[in-house]
Amino acid sequence: MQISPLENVYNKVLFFSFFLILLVMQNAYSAGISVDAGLTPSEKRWIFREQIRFNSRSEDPSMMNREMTQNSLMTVLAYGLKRDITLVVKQMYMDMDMQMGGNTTKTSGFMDTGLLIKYGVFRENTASRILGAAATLEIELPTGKKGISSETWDLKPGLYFSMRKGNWLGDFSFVYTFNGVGDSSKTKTIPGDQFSINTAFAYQTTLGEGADKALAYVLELSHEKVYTSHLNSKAVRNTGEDMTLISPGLKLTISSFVTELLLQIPTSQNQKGNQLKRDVGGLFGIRYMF
Amino acid sequence: MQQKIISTIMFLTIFLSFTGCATKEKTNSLSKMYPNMQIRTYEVFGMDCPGCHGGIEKLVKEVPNVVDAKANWDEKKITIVIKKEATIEDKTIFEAIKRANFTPGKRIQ
Repeated sequence: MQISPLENVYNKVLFFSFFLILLVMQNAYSAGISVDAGLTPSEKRWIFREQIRFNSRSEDPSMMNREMTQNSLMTVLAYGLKRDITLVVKQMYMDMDMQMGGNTTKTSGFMDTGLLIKYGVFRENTASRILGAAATLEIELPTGKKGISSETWDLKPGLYFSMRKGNWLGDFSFVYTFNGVGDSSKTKTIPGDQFSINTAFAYQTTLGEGADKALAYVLELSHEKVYTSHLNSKAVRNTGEDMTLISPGLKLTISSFVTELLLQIPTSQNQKGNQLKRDVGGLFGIRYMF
Repeated sequence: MQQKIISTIMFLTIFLSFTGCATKEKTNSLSKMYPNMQIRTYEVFGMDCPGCHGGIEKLVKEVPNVVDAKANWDEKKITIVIKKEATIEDKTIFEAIKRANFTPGKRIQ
């Protein structure tokens, strides 16, 4: 079957749009319910976490009428090696559809694996309040499926602070991502660095009399910036964005089992070039501690 | 997508409300469960949700001669069951509490 020149151009545009969105989506995620971030878990404590994230993008500024939906499953396993050292493994599976005109391109597979170490810098527990600070260092290995993986080693240092006072919980985090560490490839597009600032407030109440159930009403404010990607040291057009999100949510704890739900609403966003705008998204997560 | 998310949140909120209402009163029954054992209760600071219970209970139960332990984050305390004839110094319990990232207070009972 012969493809007309017009169709050929169309396919190239579709592929390149898809590729650029992949570059952005690999890194632009809201932290999502970061409660406890500055408080390291107990020694010998295991934490297993599953989080389903629903994201989509639309409002195509170009005339191509593109839309994108992305659902992903994040699996996290953490272990309290010492009271102030936590080891974490993170793995995300992604399923994404990109629509342009009447065509849909699908891609799915495992993304890059993250290995993280968290160090509890400070902890103060008193009758009236809890304060905690932790530093993290994550290395993202290029283990993901070809076409989804960044194919580079990425480094993510982070700082976390947590405060608890009465029924009120507050968390603050700052994570910077150095993408393509040590990669000097001249043929590969290196995604731009990224940083995210996340502030979470929550009001927690006990359910029932046994103190084994608690419900927290969570409100998160996040700001994310993704810098322009580079190819052969030159900026790639239509890459780079920043956005602010406000995210109301719920967190239910029943003994060692936590369920969390968050609605992520972009309040402002600025994408370079003809990138798609992010829609309202959400996440649903469970956590089991043993 | 938006409608699905909002519906899910509404459903979960209602479900949680009923879950809370249906919760039965839980009493500290350790002394009834272990009538011939030593029961001690300590203040503990730093627990911020029910999820903290498992971590501290696990480490305190590792102390030799500790039979059982129940933490209560809301009341900031942990109740420990110790074999009747055993002698355990408070500082041994305090060490276990500290390894769980919490701060021991005074012995209440």
